[in-house]
Amino acid sequence: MGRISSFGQHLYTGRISFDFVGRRMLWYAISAVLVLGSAAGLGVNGLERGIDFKGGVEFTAQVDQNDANTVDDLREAVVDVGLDAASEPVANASGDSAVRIQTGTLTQDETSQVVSALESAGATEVSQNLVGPSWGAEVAKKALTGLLVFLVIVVLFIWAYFREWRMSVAAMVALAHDIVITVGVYAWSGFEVTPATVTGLLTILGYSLYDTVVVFDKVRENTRGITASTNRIYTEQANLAVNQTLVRSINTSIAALLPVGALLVVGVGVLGSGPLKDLALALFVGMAVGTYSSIFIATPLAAQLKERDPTIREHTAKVLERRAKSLEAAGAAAPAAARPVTASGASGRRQPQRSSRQQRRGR
Amino acid sequence: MAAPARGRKVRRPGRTLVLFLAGVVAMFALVGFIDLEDGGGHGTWAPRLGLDLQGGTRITLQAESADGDVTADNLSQARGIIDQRVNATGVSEAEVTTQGGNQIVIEIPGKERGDIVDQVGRTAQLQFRLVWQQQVASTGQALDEAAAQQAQAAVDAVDWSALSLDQLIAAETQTPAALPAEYQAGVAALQQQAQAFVCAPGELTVVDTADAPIVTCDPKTGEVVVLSPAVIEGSHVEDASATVPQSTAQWVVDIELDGEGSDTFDTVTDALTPVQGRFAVVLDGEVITAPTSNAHITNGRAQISGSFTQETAVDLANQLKYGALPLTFAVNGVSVEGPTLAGSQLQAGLIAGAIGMVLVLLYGLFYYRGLGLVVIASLGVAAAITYGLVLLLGQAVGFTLTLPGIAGLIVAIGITADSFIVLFERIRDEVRDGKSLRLAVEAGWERARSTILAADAVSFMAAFILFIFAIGVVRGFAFALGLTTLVDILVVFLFTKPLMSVLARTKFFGQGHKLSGLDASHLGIEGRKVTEFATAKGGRS
Repeated sequence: MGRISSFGQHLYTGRISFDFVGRRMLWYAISAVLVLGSAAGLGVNGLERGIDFKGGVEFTAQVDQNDANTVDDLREAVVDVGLDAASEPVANASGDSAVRIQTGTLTQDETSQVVSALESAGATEVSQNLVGPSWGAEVAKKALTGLLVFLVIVVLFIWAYFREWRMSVAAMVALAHDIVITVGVYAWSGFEVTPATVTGLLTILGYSLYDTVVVFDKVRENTRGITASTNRIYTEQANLAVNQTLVRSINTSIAALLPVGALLVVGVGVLGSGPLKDLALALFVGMAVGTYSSIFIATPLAAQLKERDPTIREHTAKVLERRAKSLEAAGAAAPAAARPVTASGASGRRQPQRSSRQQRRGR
Repeated sequence: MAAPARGRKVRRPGRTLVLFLAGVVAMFALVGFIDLEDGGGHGTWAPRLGLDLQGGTRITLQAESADGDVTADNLSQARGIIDQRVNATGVSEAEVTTQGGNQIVIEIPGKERGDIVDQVGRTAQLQFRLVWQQQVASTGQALDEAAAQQAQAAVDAVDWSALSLDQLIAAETQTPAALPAEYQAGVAALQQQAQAFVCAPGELTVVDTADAPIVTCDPKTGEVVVLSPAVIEGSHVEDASATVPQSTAQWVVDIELDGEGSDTFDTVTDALTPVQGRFAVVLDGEVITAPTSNAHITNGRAQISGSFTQETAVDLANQLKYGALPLTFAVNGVSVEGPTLAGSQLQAGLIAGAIGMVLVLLYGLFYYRGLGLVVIASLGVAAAITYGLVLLLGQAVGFTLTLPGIAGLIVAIGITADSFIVLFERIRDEVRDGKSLRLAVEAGWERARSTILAADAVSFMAAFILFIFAIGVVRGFAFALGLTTLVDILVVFLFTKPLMSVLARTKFFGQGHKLSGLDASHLGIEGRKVTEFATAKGGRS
């Protein structure tokens, strides 16, 4: 444990520093590949829409023994009813004592016929979920409206809280990134998209931002009054913030993913396919991606945007110049002092000064 | 920045803790008290479960705005009518609610009643018609197809809506033969239809067109009648109620018509009363009552008497009052959840919740050691408060716990735990910066506070917007998420932080015992005690 704690301590002081911000091009490239891959998946495979988006009826038949024969028997029973919309039912085992059967749109009478057929074929109890064709459109429309309202409010909130539009922009980019990749996972894997999935996706928005806000908060703290400093530049301070919150990010992600993982495992194990699985899956993927993007995308991007600010740019140039000078002076006296170990292996530019760590707090 | 503790009012974390815990106890007392008031005692300490967790039927009706806009007014009117209809089917504990501005949701807990779908969503047509011909001697022999078509063609051939109210009345007070010559073929066809009419209760299929005469029957009495085109439509009925007038001991149904309906009714009763003529109240082509007009009603307040029982009178009053839906509805979804599936969904939700909670607690203990106890206590308190609120809201505003709701609560475990993690990490940062542990708790809190608030605000906004824009059970998820975010803030401010302050004064935590999670090596500050300030290196700027 001691090692993990001192790891946190070293991250905090900057003795160990991962160059999240400096190597941003690498992260951007990785993310670009993932985003493009997701978009491609969406283009090639599309999304497998669940019954709620297509309309139709889903029967969940409870059975004593769930094996391939049972599924076939029940499927046959539905076909034998002789309804057009139920001539090609999709039947799957779900959990260990239920079979899910999906058909096209049926009337209530037809639904009752199918239920009786299933019951005479050995199902002990049949639940049905009849979805009208306009239901999915309604859900999708609402979700989209909610998404837009959410984005607008959150952009304004972050801007108001951090007094910095660049952070809003960076947070939004990270958010879009998370959503696209999560959707991409669905496209490639062929997991069904249901209203529960959409809910999960919308929840990810909140979570991803939550995470970003925590990291940005530290960035703001570290860069407060930066222009008055003569030996620290914005990017380095932002990078330090990511490193300082790294332990929190990891712990938080674990704390968030553990329950969601439990939801996913139990959801699939006990119930088979269903809303619990859909929700948990979307959350699991989205939260993992969300943590990644807070660290690797949001902060580097915010720092990059901030560096374009004339005041900051000028300040950075001044500090770097001063640093080069003192390096020259020091270089004449002695060869460059051995640096503390850095895990970053960062290139020569923009190396944080390792001395006087107490001063670095800048408050 | 100055040391945060300086110059501020003396904190009393112990008192905050005691007050907070007293508040929690008071909340549970309130839950118990409300239940006692209820007197029901059903499931006192168990939350109200949604249909997906206890089984039942949910029917979603979607309003179709073909003829005009769906307004909140006519939607809630429709809700009332449908509520009545559901009750009329003998389901008493059903809940009928509007949703999303254009939907009506019927929830029948614990019962599998997909069969009532057809009865609740139909757009019933309620009309007042004149009885043109009564006591038809029906042969009960249905017309063959060709003859039936021929008869219907003859009826359809003329424009019945062109007839004036007086002409319609004349056709009753005299005979249908009093109508103009071009209608006679139609009248003959009607009579032919009437003689062949089969009055089969429950299977009556009458094509009900308001502006044409119809042949139908009263399934209760089996009486076959020929009725005029509608003279008053159901939308003119303002109110109807079942009462027992003081003068009699018989149940009657009082009807109140609006202005236009009153005028027509005035004319009709004026003409029918002297000859003891009858009018019929028709719902969806079915005669629900055909009283004799025995008083000239000028004010639109009619009274239907007969051999009513309380039940039939109330029934009729409701049919009159709620007979016509102001909107057309399409069945958008029917979900019938059997008790076994519902039970296993509940079980799965609870298992997942328990496992998730335990995993997070174990992780807290593993990583934060002694502080893990703070995580356990805080999450425990948060869980207790959330449970209490679910009970309280269940009783106060009918909040029901659904499967997505449970999922929301489970997801919230992680978000709640994050607040503690933020706080702990901030405290460690402060210690690393050179503060003594006791000061670090206060200073770390100062910094963690705004972070926690900002992050929770984002989380709450997400939940809130999800709640506003979500449909159906998804709202349960959003509600649970939003609720727990608020609980999180409450717990962190009033429990976790004061607890940390108190613990920092204890020997075990405050002196940095090896297992406390606040020991020097755990914090990575070998070389000084956690009770000391670091002064050796650097100054503070």
